[in-house]
Amino acid sequence: MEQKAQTFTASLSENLEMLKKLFGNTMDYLPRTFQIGETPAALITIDGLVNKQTIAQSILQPILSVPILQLGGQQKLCYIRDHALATVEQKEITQLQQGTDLLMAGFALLLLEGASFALAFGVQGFPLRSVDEPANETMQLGSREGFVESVQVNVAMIRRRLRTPDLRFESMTVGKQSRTQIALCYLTDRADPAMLEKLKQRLENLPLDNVLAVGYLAPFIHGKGVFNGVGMTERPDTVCGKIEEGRIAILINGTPNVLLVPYLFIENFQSFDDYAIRPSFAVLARVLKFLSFFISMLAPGIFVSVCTFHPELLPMNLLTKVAQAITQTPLSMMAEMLLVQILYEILREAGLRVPRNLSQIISIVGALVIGETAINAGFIGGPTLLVVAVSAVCSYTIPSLYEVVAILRILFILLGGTLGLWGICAAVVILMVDVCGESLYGIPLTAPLSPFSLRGMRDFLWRTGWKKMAGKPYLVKNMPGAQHEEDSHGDK
Amino acid sequence: MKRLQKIISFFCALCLMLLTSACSIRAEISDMLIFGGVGIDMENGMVTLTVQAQRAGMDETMIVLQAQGRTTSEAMSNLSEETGKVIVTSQNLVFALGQSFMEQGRATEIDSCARQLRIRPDVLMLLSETTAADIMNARDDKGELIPLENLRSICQNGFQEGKGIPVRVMDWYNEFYGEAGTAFLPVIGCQPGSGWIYQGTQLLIGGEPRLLLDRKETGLYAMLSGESGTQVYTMATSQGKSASGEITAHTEMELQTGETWQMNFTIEGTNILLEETMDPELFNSALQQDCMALLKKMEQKDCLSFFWKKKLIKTDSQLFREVKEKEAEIPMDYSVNVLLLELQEG
Amino acid sequence: MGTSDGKIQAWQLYLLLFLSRVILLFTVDAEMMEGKNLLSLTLSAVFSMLLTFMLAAPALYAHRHWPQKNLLAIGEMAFGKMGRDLLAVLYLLFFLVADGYYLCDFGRFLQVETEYGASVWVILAAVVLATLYCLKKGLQAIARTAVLLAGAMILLLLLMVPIWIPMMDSSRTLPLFYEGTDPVLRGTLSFTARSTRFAALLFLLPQVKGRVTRGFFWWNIGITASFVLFFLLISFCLGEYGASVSYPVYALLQLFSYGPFTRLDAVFTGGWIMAMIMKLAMDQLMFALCFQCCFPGAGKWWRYCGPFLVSGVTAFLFFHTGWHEKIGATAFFLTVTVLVLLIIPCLTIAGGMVREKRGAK
Repeated sequence: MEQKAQTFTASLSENLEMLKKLFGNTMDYLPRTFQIGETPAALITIDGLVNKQTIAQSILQPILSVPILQLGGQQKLCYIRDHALATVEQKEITQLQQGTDLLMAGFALLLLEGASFALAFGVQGFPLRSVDEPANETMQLGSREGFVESVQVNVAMIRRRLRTPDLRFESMTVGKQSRTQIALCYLTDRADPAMLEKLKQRLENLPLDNVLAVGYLAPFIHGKGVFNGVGMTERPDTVCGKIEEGRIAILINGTPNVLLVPYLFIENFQSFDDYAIRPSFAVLARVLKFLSFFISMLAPGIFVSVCTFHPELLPMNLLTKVAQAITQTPLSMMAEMLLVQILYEILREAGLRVPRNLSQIISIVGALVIGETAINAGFIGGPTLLVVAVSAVCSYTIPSLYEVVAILRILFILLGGTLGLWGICAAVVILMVDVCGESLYGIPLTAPLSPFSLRGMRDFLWRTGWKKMAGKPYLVKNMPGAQHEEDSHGDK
Repeated sequence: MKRLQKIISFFCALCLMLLTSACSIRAEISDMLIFGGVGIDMENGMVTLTVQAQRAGMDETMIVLQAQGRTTSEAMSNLSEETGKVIVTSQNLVFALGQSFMEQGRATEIDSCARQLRIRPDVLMLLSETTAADIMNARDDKGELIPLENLRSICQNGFQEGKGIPVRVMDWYNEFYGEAGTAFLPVIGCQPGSGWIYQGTQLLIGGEPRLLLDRKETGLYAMLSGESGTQVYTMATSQGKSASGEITAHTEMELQTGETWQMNFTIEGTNILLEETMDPELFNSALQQDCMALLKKMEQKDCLSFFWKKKLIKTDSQLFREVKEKEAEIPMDYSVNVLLLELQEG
Repeated sequence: MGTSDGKIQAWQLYLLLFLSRVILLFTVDAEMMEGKNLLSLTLSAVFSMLLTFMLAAPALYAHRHWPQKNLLAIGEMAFGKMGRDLLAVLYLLFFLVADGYYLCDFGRFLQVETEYGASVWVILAAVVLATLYCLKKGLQAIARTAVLLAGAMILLLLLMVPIWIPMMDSSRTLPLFYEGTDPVLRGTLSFTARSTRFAALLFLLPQVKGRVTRGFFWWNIGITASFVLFFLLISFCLGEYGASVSYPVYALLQLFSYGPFTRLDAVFTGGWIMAMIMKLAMDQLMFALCFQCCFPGAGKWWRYCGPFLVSGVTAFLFFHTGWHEKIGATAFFLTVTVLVLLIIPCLTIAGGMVREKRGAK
């Protein structure tokens, strides 16, 4: 259907016919025809998206109160547009596609016989979730507001925090069928124009039919490596902090998650709290996160490899205990570790999907039945369970890396069980090369650690106090190694 | 298609890795015999290996096993065969040698196991007063094996209160195979029900036992040779009691070479604490006499080279190379001068 | 491979070379000097440093004179395309054999180390696969990774040195020239012979920015200082025992003990394998350069054939110990090193300068 080429005509019936063809017999398509004087008119809305009271008070009542004027349809519509209506947001549209998009966005369309354009009024009234603290990103200090599904509300939340005219929101539509509205948010004096242009090009060329969550968009804008360069957040304060460093945020209508581009590897270990608490404690927290990352990813694999290939690394007392535990279980260390790891992932997945009423049962079944009983029955060993539990807990200190770490953990267990520490070392090198070789929109993913920047270290392993950081923003486009180059996606 | 190729390649690589790495047939901890201590004896030309080992899954944490062979390597292989386990030597704490083993000059036998890649250089070496099997089989009052960590603490804490001069595998190698060729091992005996006791030091030259020093003599030797700086010296008094003094000694040995070589030991003692009121001069002369007696005893057994060889290597290596093989022909004289400073009354 | 800029900083290159050089430290033993006084190696390291300045001089000079040209480009300028191709073939073979030798060394160590039945060949295959991946990612990724690895290694070793220092005992060592000056000389030649990593300067300097010459000067001094420190530690902590074992640094790491942290010989193996991957990746980059030169019409995947060929050489040397010993003999190794690092580059540079002058006239 060549919707793009279609425009509104001066004939009301033709316009209504075009719209009827588009929407068919759908129950929420509501055309309301009436007369303005002797001129036929129609008000088109989508039921459920509009506020009917606003329509009645701000559109219909003023229109119907307009004095009967001997004007043509076009002039009459202009008169109504300029003198009669009480709506704040109104647009003049000529394209059918544009009109359809606006209808879907909660606008009402006014068509008049004789007018070759339509008026669209912002009268949204669809139900919205209230602003609440994001469940997945709780902070000790900072606001309790999180993004919601409406991009307009989210835009407002960011605008309230950054009251600078340099803050820009560029609207785009993605998804051939879903026609999802997205907004690119950035500061004009901080974001790299080339990066912005590249990002827009990618978004314009998206081959997706539907964009229903951030995960739909992310693969098209991040790198190919294990650790991609796109971050997500549900917090407006985090978004503000990130765009102040020259990043670009992508708000997507229908989801409270916002994408942040580019997202350096070290940012996985930073949180908003770090900037609100004492620097010394922030340093401790970051060090703990780094340690947790390595423990979470490597501990099971190293434990398997040490028990299998390098028992000399264990002190004799520990070796005795581990050996006794292993002897009592029927499986090899690698198989046992994999089994416990898979069991844990199953429990975790079940915990996410189970109705709240039953969540207690899951924890009882998981902890007591599976954990304790399995050890008592001799199916799995205590040390194995302990290692898996510790690595699981550690993985939750860096939730943004959970998915990657979970997969790598299994890989390292396999490598540890087959090739020992040597295999793990080789895999670590491959991982490091992968991360170091990635760059997103010209920014190396491992900056400012490698390539090294001393100035960048002020917010890396340690957090310099605000007295020193104030007024000296370290923009992401100034990261060491940043250049306009061929990035991981292969385009310049 | 490209993605499918990648997925297939990944799974093929995974299968290859699992199949070719021999992970399914490799020995796990439960298949290992982890050595805690190794004792080596020799009888009728056969090496007897007595080991304290940890075998996973047994009620008893540590067990004692024995095997025989013509060499230590053969004995180890026989042990592995008999038990059906893979021998792991990386946790080994002690090498104990039996008297018979040392007397038959088979010290080089231990090279094959002592210098494996997985043996730590600081594994202790010692000589048993009787057999190495006695050391490994030492049990307490309840009949349980005494942990070998106790043996390490006896041998490892430096020369204090009559404990031994620690000898580790690397020290043994440096002494035994070193240029000086003078080696020594602590001698450990067993007391039924209470464990091990340090008995003295065995001096060896060229792998042959030469002289056994008792505990007191070991202390004096350690002081004279500079191995240790703090000693407890006990002397008998005329009233039939003993008086002891703890001294921190700084010993200098001046070696004069010529027609007759002269070794002059000067012991400077500080922080001297006498437990009983006594004339310090008596303490001084008693110490001097005991040192001289030790030197005489060592001279009789041609062991004076334990003092001068290492010094000569450092000061005049060319002369050392000349006299290295002719040490028995060198006329030697010696003297001991004791200066006790900073006396404290106990 | 890599980015359109593709350049790395000088200090990144030298950290990469550090990792290559540290393999020499791991593999040093008394056989290199044919003596038993490892203290002699301290002097050997210092004298070798002076010789390596000489070995690196042609590459540094060429970089100053022709900053954008590597040895092959200079060779083409000097001797034409045939000369360049000949150079490429020579260096191609050099990298193959050198890498095969070092990988075989590592394989032999694994054979002794892996008593518990793991397959040495699978581990070597993992090393080769890792090298392939590094090759695919390019020089910048390798250099950045080397920065992280070298930094971690240096930090770890610096933390461990204070633990070893109290274990040092002068009575364990023999006097410096106890065995005469021959061990010092032999050690010097051995170290110099194993300076093959400087070939990187002949090929990679055009892709390096920053203070190359000054960086090399300080790098060489730093590396030598760390070698001297380790030889002192080995001599004073282990004594003649260190000369009797195949891997003295391994024995030194076994000696480490601090609270619950004991037996850090896994650091040795892990460090060796990581450094080996970085070294192989760097050498195979140069191999790929030479290969592209020799076979410009070959498809893009052929540039990755280097690691597979290296595996073949490794396997050959592994099962033919005689060949491995012949290649590893100081005389042969030194001859090859001097040839590829000094003689051939000097001739090429001289040819290039002559051509340039003629062209200018």
